[in-house]
Amino acid sequence: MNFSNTKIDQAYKSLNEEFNNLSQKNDIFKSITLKKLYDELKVIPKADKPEFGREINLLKKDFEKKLAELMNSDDDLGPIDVSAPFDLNIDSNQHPKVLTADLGSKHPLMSELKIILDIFGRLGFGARESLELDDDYHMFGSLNFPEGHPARDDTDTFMTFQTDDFNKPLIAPAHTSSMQNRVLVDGLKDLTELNKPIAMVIPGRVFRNEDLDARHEHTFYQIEGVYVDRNVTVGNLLATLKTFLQTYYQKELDFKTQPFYFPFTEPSFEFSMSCPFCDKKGCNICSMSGYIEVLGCGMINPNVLTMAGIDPEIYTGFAFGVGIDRLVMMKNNIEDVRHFESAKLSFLRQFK
Amino acid sequence: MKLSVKEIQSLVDFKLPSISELTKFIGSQLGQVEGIIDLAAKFKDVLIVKVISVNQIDGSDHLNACLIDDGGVLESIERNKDGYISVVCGAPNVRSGMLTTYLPPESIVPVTFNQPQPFKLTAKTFFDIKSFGMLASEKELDLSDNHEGIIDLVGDYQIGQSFAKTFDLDDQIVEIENKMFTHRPDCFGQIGLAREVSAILGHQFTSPDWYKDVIKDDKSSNQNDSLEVINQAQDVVPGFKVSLIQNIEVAESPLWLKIKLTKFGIRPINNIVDITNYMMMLTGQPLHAYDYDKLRELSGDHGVKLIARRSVDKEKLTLLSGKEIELEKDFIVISTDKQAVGLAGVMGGFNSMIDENTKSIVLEAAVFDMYLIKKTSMTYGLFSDAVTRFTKGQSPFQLDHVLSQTVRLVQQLNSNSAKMPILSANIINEKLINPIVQVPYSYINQILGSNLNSEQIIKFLSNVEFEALDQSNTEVSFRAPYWRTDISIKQDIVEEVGRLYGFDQIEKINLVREQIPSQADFNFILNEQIRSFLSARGANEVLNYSFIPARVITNSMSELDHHYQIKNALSPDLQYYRSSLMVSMLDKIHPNIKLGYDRFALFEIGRVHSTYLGKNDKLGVPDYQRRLSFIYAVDDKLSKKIKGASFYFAKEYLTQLFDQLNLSSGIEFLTIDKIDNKLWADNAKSYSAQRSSAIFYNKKLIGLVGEFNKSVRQSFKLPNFLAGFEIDLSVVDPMNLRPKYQELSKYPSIIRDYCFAVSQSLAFNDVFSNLRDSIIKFTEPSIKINIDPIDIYLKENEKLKQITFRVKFTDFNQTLSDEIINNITDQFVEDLNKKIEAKIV
Repeated sequence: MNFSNTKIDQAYKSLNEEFNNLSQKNDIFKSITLKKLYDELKVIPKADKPEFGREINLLKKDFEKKLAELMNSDDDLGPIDVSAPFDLNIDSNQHPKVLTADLGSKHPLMSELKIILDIFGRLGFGARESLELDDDYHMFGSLNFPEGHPARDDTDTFMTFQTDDFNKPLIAPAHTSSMQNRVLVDGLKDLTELNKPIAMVIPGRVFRNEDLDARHEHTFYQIEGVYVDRNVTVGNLLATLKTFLQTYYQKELDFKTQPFYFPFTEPSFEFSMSCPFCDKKGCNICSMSGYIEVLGCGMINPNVLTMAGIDPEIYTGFAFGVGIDRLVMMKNNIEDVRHFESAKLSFLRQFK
Repeated sequence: MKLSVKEIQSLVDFKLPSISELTKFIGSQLGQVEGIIDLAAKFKDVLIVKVISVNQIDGSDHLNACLIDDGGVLESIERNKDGYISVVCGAPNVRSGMLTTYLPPESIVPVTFNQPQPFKLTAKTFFDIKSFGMLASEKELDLSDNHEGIIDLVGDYQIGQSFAKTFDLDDQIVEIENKMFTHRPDCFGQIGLAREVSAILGHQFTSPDWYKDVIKDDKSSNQNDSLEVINQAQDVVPGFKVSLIQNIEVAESPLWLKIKLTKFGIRPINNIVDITNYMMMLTGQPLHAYDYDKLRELSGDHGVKLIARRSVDKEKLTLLSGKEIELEKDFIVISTDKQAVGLAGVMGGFNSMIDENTKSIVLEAAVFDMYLIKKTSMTYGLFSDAVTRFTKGQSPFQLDHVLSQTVRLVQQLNSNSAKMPILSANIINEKLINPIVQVPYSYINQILGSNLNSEQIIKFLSNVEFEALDQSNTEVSFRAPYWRTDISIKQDIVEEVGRLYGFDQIEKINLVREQIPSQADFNFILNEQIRSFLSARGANEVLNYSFIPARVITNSMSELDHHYQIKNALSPDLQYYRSSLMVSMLDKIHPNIKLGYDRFALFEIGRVHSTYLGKNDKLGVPDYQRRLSFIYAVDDKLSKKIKGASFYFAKEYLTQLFDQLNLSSGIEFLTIDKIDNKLWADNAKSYSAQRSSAIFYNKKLIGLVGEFNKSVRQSFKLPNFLAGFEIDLSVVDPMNLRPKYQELSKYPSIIRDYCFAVSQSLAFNDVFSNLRDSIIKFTEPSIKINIDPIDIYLKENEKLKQITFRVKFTDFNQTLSDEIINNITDQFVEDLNKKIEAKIV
C-alpha cells in the first residue's frame, strides 16, 4: 500500500515493522506513530485535512484487515504456553477472571428435577439415571410388549443402524420405563433377603420421533417411579402420587383417575389433579377444565415382575411416569417447549 | 371411538343419565372423553312438512313457488289464509303431496353447522314471491352427498314433527380415546360400549340374542356348488367365513340407515356397503362384500374360489380406492385361485368390488393377525376403519353371529334375495376359547386396597356378562365372554373389578414401611455442585439435543464412523448420537452473538456416545461418558479490549472447578499430541493444536481445554475470542468431594515476591514445579508454603522471560523472622539456578 502523503507513507512503513513485532497485534492501534499522525491532523492547513484524514483512515483499515486475517489464521495465532495460568505480558488487573454471578443461570428443567428428586428422597425413594441409548429388551421385551406388538413398530421410537447382541437395532428410549427391569433386577436381592422394598425414581431424557412444534419436542425429560414390596395396593399408588403432587405444589388438590392402557402395568391409569393454578375455576393452563392430566401410572404387570425374577404371587408394586418439561412449562407459563434445548440466553438468563 | 347415546340407550333396559353425568362416568371408568358432538343442536330446527302445492314461477326455468304445511307448529311465521307457509324451491323432485324436510327462517343449515360461519336462513324474495326458509336435500342436512333433490320421506310420518326426534338425530356422540381400547376390540362397537356403560352405571347388560353364544361346534362346510373358501394361512387367519347372497339389487340405502352411519361420520355408499359398515359400528367386526360374478370371472375353470393366503413378492393389486400397490411377500391377501381380490383386513380390491350392476354378493367376515395387519397398514400407508379394528384382535367366535345378522339385514332390504349357508374355511381352534381364571377375593382387595365382598365382585363382572363358574367363600372362577380377548390371568380380573368399581372410590393410603434412608446416585449430587459452582461464576447452563446432524460432526472435523446413527428420524437434523458435548455447544455460539450477547459462558452436563467406548458389561448396552462441557465466548468487537489468549479464560474456570472438586493436585495440562485415546483424539480435531491442551488426572486423560482451529471457527461462524473445555466427570471421587481445609496458624505469615528470568522455551509449569520443589526442599516441614504466579513478562527481542511469584511462608510453631526466610531464599534460589538456570531478578 502506498500513500500520497509522505508522512503517512513513512508512518505506514514503521507501523508495519511494529506490527510484525507485536505479540498483541491489536496494540498497533495504540502505537505512538499512529497517535502522532492524528496529532499532525490537528495542525495541518484546513484545505489538506480531508485528504490527510482519508489516508489515515485507509491506513487504519489496512491494519484492521491485517488483524482480522491474523485472527482467522491458525499459524499466526501462534503457540501459547498451556501450562501457564495467564498469557505473557498481561497486567495483573487483566488476568483472566470468571464472569460475575449476576449473569449466571441454571437450566429450569434441571432445577425442577432437583426439587422433584428432593421430594421423592424425603418419601424414601432412591434415585438413579436412565440411559439415552438402550436395547430392544429393556425398551419392549422386559416391559411386556409382545414380539410384533404394534407399539414396537411405531415410527415414534428412534432406532440406530447399530444393533445389539440379538441383532436388533439399539433404541433411544421413548419413556423412562425402559429402566424398570434394571431397577427391579438390582433391587431383587435386598427385597427378598432383607425385606427392603424397591423404591426408586429414575429421571432421564426420552425421545419421540415427532415433528417439532410449540407443544411437541423430540427430546424431553421424564421421571419414572418404581415401588415394589409385599401388599402394595392401588390405594398406595394413588396416595403416593397425591402426596408428591401436593408437596410439589404446596397445596391441597383433588385427584381423578382415568383407566388407560400400558402393556407394563395392569391396571393402568392416567392420573389427573385439580388445577393448582386456578383451583378448579378454569384457566388457560387447564384449558378451562379445572383438571390437568399429569401422569401415567399403574400396578406393575406380573409379567414384568416375573421377567425381573420377582415372584408376583408374593410381591406387588406400582410404577408411574411424569413428564418434567410440562410441569416446568405450566409452573412458569412457558409458551414453547422448544426453548428448553435452544440454548438461547434470552431464555436461560431468566432462570437465575 | 364414537359412542352414540341414542344407540346405547336402545341397547340397555334402563334410562341413561344426563350427558354430563354419563361422560363423567365414562371418563373415570372407561376412557378419556375427547369430545362431544351435539347432533341434537345441529338438527334441532329441521321439521317434517307436507308440500301442499307446487307452481312453477314465471320467468324462472327451475324455481317453484310452494306452499307447505308444518302442522301449525311454527310460531311467528307468516302464513297464508289457509295457514300454509310459502317457500321457493328449485329441486326437480318437489311435488305436491310429498313429505319432506324443512328448515325454517333463523335456522342454521346443518351442513354448515361446524363451519366458522354457519349459514343462517332468512326470509327472501324470488321473483316477487316471498320464501320463508328452505326445503332441504340430504346434502344440506349433512346426511350424504346427494343434492339431486329434496328429501322424499316415504312412510307414515307426522306433519310438523321434529325430523331429529323421528330419526333419532336428537343424539349426542361421545368421542372416547382409542388408546384405552388397545386390546378391547369389543369397545369398537356400540354393543361393547353399551355393555361397559351399563356396568359402570351398575346395571346388568344383556347382549342381543343374535350376538351371544360361543359356537364351539362349527359344522359349517367350506364349499357348496357355487363357491369354495380355502384358508392357506391358518397361522395368521384364525377365522374366515363367507356367505353368498343371490339376487340382490344394489341401491341407495333407506334414510334410517344413512342416518345411522352419518352419526358416526361414515358416508353412505349403497345398501350393501352401508349395512356392512353399520354392522361394524355395532359389533366392531369389519366385513367385506365381493361381487360374486366378478369373482367367477377372476377364478379359473375349477369353480369360484375365495382363498386367504400370504402374498407373493411383487404381486400387484389395485385397491378399492384406485391405488395400485406392489406387494412384498408374506402379507395376507384374499384371492381367487388366479389373482388377488383384496388386501386382507385393510382394503378390498377394485376388481371384485360391488357396483350398481351387482346381482350376487359374497359377504366375508374374518379375523386376521393383528400385528400383521398393523404392519401391512404401516408398510403401505393405508389406514381405514377396518384397520383400526382389525389391529385390536377380534375373537373369531364373533364371525358367525355378525355374518348371520348382516345377511338378515341385507335380506330385509332385498326381499327377493336368496342366501346360502355360511361357509367356513377354518376349524375353530379350541385354544381360542377363553380360559377359566381363578381368583381369591382377598387377592383382588389386596391389590386394589379395597374392601369388596364376594357378591360385589361377582356382580361387577356378571354385569359385563362374565360367567362365574365356581364360587366359594374365598375365591371365584370366571370365564370371560368370547368377545373379551384380553382376560387370561387374575390381574386381568383385578383390573376389571377395579375399573367397574371405580378407582376413584379406592381410599388413598400412604405407604408404611421401615425407615430406610434413600440412596441417591452420586451423579445427581455432583451435577448439582457443578451447576451451582458455574452459575455462580456467571455461566449459563444449557441442555442440547443428544442427536446432531452430520453437518455438525463434519464441521467440527470429527469422523462420522464411530457415531451411533439414527435410522428412522423424521427430521434430517437428528442423524447421529453426539460423541462430544462441545460440538453442540459450538453450534449455539453464533446465534447468541447475533442476538447481541457480547460476552458469555455456557456449560452443559450431559452424555456422549461412541462406538469407541464399547459396551458397558454391567448394563449390557453401549457405554457412554458423563461429561461437562464449558465454553467462554466474546464477540469480535469486545474482544479487542481483552488482552491475552481466550485459552486462559477457559482454563481459569477449569482450575477453579478442579479446586472445588478437589482434583487440583493430580492435574496436568499437556499438549494434545499426548492423547492416547481414540474418542478424545477424534474430539480433539476441532481444537487448535498450538492453543489447546489435554488434561490428565493422575496420568489418565480426562479431557480437553483450548481454542478451536480456523476451519472450525469458520464453519460455525465463531468469534475469535473463544475457548472451552470438556471433561469426563467419572474422574470425580464421590468420597472426596469437599473443599480442602488448611489449618490456621497462630503466627503471622511472611510474604515475598520473587522474579526469575528463565529461558523463553521453558514452560511455565516447569518453572513453577521446580520452584515449589526447591522451596520445600530447604524449608522446615512446620512451615507451610503458598506460591502464586503474579506476572509473566517477555521483553521484545529478548530470549529470557521473567516470571514473578508471590510466596507466602507460614510457620505453625513460631513467628518467622526475615533471617529465616533470607536463609531459605538463598538456598532455593541457588538450587533453582542449578536446575533450570533461573536467575533471580
